[in-house]
Amino acid sequence: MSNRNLKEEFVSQIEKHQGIIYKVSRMYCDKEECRQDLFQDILVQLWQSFPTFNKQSKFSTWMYRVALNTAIAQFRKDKKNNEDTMSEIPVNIIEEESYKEKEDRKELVQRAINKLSKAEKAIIILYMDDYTYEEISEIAGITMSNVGVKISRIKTKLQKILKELEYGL
Amino acid sequence: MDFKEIKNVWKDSVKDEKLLNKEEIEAKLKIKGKSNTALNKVKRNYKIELILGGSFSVFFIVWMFMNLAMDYKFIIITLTVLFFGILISFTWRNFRKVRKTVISSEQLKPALVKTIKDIEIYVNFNKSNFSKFLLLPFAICFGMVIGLFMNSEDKGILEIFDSVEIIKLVVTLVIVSAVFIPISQYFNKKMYKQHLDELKQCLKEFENIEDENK
Repeated sequence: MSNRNLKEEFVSQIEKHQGIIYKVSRMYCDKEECRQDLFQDILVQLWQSFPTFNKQSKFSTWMYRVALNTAIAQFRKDKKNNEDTMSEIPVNIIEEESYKEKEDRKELVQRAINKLSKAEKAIIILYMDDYTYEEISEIAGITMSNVGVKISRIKTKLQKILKELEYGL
Repeated sequence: MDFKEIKNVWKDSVKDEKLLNKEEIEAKLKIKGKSNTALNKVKRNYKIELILGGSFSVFFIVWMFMNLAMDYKFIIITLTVLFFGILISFTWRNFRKVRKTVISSEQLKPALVKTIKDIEIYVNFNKSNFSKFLLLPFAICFGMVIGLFMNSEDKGILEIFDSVEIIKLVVTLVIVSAVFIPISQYFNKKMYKQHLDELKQCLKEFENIEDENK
């Protein structure tokens, strides 16, 4: 396949599945600047790795692998990028101004996600995107029987964090 | 908030993103931004070291050729070529190991193992005793010896290295090493060690997932 055709095929696939890059960037960065950098980095890594895509797995599965690997291996310019940057704001202020008034549940969920580790984020993003245990196991490189147990633990952890954030525990 | 709700909120927040068309994707691919991944940083650093080391060694050898006294010129230049040759070939060997690595399409856990290994080669060399106590002091000592030869005019070797010069050389070497070794180690740690620890922690988590269920 010529380079031009390869690029056309790549761009067309990315156009279809670009949501994955947005999801991964959002999962691993809570700041816009960091998200844009990560988006760009993932896109370039995908293009560089595209010749190695052997079509044995779905494009979206392969894309998730590249995107998550890039996100996990990225250097953090700002230590707080992936941590809870709002945790220092008193909870009552968040509840009054942000959470209740501005209906900012998205932000709350984002803050809870930020508290997960890199590995937990990788697993839960796939689960939230409706991937099966088998697919998650294939992407992460862990056995299928352990995926279910881990997901259940992450779900519980996430709910606990959310509860703490909502009620300021 | 139950998990179904969390999932819906999460999905909603991603829906807000403006999707790119083909032209915009192609435009983004043309941007040659610096990758922020650990492996690409290591690759970039190897390239910088090779380019700088190569250019500097050529410049230095030409400069010595033009400035050194005839008596010692060839032996000193031979030593310099050997020194830079060993250093550059060592860097090139390590660079070759990571140059063609495209690990990002592998499964997360094995990809992490490889990334950690590649970064460790780089970090371990920089923090090794060979680098700290041999390479760096040798480079400093080498520079100073060249300086002595530069000012030697027609002196004999014993005159060049008289006891005062040797004491000066040793004292300077100790002081400069005492300053530069901790600085270089600090930057090495700051640049990679912390990140390496994070990656190791992530790998440990993946391994723990397997262990917890045994």
